[in-house]
Amino acid sequence: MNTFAIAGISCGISCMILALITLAFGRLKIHRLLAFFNIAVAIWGFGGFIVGIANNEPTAIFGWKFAHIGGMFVSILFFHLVCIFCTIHRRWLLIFGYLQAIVFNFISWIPDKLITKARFVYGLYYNDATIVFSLAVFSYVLLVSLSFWELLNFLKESKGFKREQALYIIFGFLCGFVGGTSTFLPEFKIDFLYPFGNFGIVLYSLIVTYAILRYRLLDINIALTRAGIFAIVYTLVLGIPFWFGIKTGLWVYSTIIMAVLATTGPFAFIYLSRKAEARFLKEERRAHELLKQASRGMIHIHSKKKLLDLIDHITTKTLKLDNAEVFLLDENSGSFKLSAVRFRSKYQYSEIISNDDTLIQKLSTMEEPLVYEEVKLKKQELENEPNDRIHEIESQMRRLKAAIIVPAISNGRLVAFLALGEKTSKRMYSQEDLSTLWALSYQAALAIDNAFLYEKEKMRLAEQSRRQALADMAPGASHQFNNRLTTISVTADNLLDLVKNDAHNFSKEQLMDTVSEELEIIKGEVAKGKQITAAILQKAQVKLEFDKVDITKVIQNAINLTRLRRTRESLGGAKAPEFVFNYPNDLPLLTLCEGTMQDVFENMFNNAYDAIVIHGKRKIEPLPYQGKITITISRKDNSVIIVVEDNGIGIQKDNLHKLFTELFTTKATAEKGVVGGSGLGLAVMRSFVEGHGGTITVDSEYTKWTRLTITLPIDFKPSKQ
Amino acid sequence: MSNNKLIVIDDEEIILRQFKFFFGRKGYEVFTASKGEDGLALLKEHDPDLMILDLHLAEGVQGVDILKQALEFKPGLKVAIHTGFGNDKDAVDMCLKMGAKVVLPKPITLDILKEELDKLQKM
Repeated sequence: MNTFAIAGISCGISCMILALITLAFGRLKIHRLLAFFNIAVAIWGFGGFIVGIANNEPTAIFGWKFAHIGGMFVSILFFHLVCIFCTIHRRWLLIFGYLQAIVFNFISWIPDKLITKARFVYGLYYNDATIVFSLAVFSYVLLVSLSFWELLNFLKESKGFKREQALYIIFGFLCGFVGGTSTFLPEFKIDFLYPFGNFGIVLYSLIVTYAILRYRLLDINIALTRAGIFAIVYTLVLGIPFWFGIKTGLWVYSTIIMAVLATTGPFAFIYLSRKAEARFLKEERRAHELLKQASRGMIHIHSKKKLLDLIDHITTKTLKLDNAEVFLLDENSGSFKLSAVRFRSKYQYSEIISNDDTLIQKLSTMEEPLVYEEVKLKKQELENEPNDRIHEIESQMRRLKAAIIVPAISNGRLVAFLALGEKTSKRMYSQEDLSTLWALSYQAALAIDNAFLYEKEKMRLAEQSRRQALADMAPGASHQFNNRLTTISVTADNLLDLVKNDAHNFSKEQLMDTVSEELEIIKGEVAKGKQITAAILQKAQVKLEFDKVDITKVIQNAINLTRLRRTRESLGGAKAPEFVFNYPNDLPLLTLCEGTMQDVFENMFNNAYDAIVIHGKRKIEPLPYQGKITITISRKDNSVIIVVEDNGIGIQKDNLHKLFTELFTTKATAEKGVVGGSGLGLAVMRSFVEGHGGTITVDSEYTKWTRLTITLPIDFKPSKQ
Repeated sequence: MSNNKLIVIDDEEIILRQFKFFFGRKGYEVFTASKGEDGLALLKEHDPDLMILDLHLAEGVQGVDILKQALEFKPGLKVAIHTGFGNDKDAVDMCLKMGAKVVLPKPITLDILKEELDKLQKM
């Protein structure tokens, strides 16, 4: 058996296997077509085998005729395949292609028309081309060239998985066609190479089976690098001993060398491919390293917003993506809300996906990222089952412009998902990208869960401190209210007594004036009483709505409430602190959550009050020490700046920077028995201020003063949460 | 029998106004102060025998301290404590121990107040 026969039989068998595989596993039209194509190629291979083993001319001629049954259909089946792969329509060319295949085949079986005689060359009875045969070859070359032309055009437009697939297909078919077509040469008496090209078809069948049937393709660059290195290593492993054997005739030594080299071969291959890939994928490796680093740091971030922005930023930046969005679970509704966006031309920040959406349900059960190309392929396979949920998932992903979606699952619960767009390079996500992102999503899920807990704890603390504030306020408020009742009662008594017992001592006019004057006083006191009950009610409400609010009113309320709360405090000889409130008249209304900001100011005033009380009790200042809390509002550019300064005890330098990091006030422990730390922690205050797009800073000189500065933007737009 | 001079210390201007007007009609000479310091000055200046004292003042020296200083200055001064805190027992007890004659809880009617004051005056 000669090489030509071996090439023929391997081509025939491999293509037959490929045909069976595609028929068994593929469900798309393209798969069926590929199967036909492979059958055609297999016929070509088996025909070649017959030619190879033929020991007389008539047998060889039969072999050639048999081979060309397939050969003549190969070109048009290939073209048809390309049309489907690239989704292009070339109706007339297809008709022409199939017609020429049928016609030439018909002619070929008419004796003495197409395949007539053979030339003995390379130890084979090689078919000699006739003029009609040349025509058939011409139409073959035409269709194949056209197919490659369409494929190359398609490559320019494609992206992601499809692009990678196209690269494989082009490369695979190139191997096959260059190989197969090269066997035509001796037919035209071009005899510079032994016709072993049918081996190329074996290579083709391997590459194309892989490309068509695998969802996850290996980056073709890596695949080729690996294949190249493999070829070089084994050429050397086998070539050196062979060459040595031929040169010296010492085949024993040559076999020993081969054995030694063959053992080292796999190691050399692994080492070299690793080196090459490291160089090749330097950029990707760096990106993955960055992603891994970022995911390790995530758990320390407590703010959901910061966390999501980081995830969004780091993925788009390291993987160089067109767009990336993070959707976060809203614990109340169970739906997912777009919470971080990058590079999306037409984004709607209010986008919400409800928890009964098919995509959400799918993501909850995923154990790896969801890849759009795979979803799309599955959708195509299930085209006949329009009720399958894959269709909804596909359309949702398309709408989100998501090439992949990475779910973040913590304790079996989907807490967020990352919708990532195409890479700017249009390359597809590699398997390594996916596994790195999966690891990142795992860390992110933990961090998000943590942030949820942290937020809940913060809310609970805020709620607790609000209740505490209400409880603290109750005695002072009831005292004030009682005072109003007392003045009303006393005034009414006085009037009654005047009218009943002393009226005769006054003129009618005097009496009328006095009575109306006193009644006015009663009315005034009733109004004050109403204010007190309103303040209590307002305090009891948890209102988290943003409104256009006059900040001076909020501050004035906070001052009043602080006074109410602290009325009955023993000050140890010091004078009760006084409030000085300065503000310009032309302040704009600010978009605030009134209740929250009032809490912030009350808290600040309470702290200031505490600082003054402590200062007074330590008797650092000569008595009577007058505590003073000065509130000054000013406007600068697009911000309103509120400075709250007190002349109390102040804060030691060492503690100054810790203030915002602690969740709890340290006041209670620091000044045990003097003042209880029942207020909101500064950290919570800061989060409230930041929730208004503002900042808060603190400065102090110990034993002298403390100054808190709040800056609030005038044009703040709260996100609807 | 005490003199008919009465000093009222309370941070509620309306209370001061009503007491002055009422007791003024009932034959008392009434002095009023909204701060403890001012009240003590009036005490020293006019030497009244009667005092109505609010325990909790918005500003400055507080009731217990005023009582202490007032009694130091004039041990025979008859003081009625006027307080709005039913639960403020400690301070009230301390005042009674220090020599305050009577405690008048807020809100109080002028009739009762006058009765109590008349009793004090006759002591």
